[in-house]
Amino acid sequence: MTAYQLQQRGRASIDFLTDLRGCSNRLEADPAVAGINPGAIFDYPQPGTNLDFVSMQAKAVRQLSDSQAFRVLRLCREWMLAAHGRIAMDAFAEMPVALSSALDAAKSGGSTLQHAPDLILPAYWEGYEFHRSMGGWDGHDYMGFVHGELIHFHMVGRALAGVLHAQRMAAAAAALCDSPERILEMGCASGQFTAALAETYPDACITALDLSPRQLEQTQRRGNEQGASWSLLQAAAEQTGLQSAQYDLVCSYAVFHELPRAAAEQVMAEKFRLCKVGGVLLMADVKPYSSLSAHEVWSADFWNQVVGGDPYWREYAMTDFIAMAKSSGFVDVVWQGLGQSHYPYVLTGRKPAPH
Amino acid sequence: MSANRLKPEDIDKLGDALIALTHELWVLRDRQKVLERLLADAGVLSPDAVQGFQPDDSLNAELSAEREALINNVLRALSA
Repeated sequence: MTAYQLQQRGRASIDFLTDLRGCSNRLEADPAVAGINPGAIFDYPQPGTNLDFVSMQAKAVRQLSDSQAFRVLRLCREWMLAAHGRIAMDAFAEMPVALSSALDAAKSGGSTLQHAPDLILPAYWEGYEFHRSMGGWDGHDYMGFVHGELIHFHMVGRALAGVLHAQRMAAAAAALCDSPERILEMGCASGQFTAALAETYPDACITALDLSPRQLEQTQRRGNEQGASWSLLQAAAEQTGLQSAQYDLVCSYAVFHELPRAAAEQVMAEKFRLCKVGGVLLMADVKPYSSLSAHEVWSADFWNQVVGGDPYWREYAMTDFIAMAKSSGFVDVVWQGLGQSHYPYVLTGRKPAPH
Repeated sequence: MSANRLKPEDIDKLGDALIALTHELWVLRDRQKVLERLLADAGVLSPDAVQGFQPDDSLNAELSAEREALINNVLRALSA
């Protein structure tokens, strides 16, 4: 990655965010929070069931709001959600001007990027600030670097040293194919999973797409700095325009929970279309509610869907992706959590020969 | 003068402002620690010199701009 150093304000701000998160997280263990049992409100939802989450959340939050620890925890987490994007942009702004030149130069190399300036952006995506990250994916000339490095690596990764990459490596290895020749990644963002795919399958030809040009530019930098020759294109995963049946592995990491169900169905169908016969589907993402305890369902739903800037988290977590993949035509479909933490959840399947 | 210039619905913003201020305070304390260490290591200043220092016009202007940014940061949280 392009060499850079955080400057004083950015470094101190990220230190502050890290410690604020760590200190406030301890409030979750406060008896007044841990002792409240949303399980009395949240049943164990099964995929495909239709529960009134809005009412359940309202009831749970009314109970939890009696807890001072919960109120302070919520205050801290919502402040971090609202502030982290601005802090990252400020950290970038105080870096030497030479960094911008270095980032521009890093776009040159073996990895190519095909922009689609006339692309019609999906309504669920355009202008939305996922994770409440100021500016969304494209709100800055160097948003790929701001998000991929300053937010993902320094802010999120600080407390999870090595874990984020290890999770992506485990997901890449979970594909049911030993040596795919051609891989397509849908929704590559800043290239974290692309790098794991390349590391796992060093001889594969990798194509990756995303809606965000700024994030794709960061993937391009990452590829070039690794000496890779990735083909990157700005496209919607629902309708890529790519030729049918040309990939041995069609995959995504942490993309489907950002999609409304109708879009998810379209993307699944597009994955099937693009797979070769015998080709493999891989979808790695967050845990479905069916895999969680009632308290975990409440927590995941509240901190992500209700306040976390993930408007389709609940739809994802309540969708039966085994049924969706089978409905799209995949066979041998399995959906399971990886490792001791059962994270990420990985859906695999195979495209059968036509009847 | 009203004793309740902030309304109950402002209380969340007040909480946000408090954390924003704590953030700014930390950035400043971090910078001060760094400066003191660098200056002491270089043998440039003693702590007494900092304590009794009076800023000139140029430094006053610089301090003013940074102070304004700090205040705006707090007001942004209050008025969001």
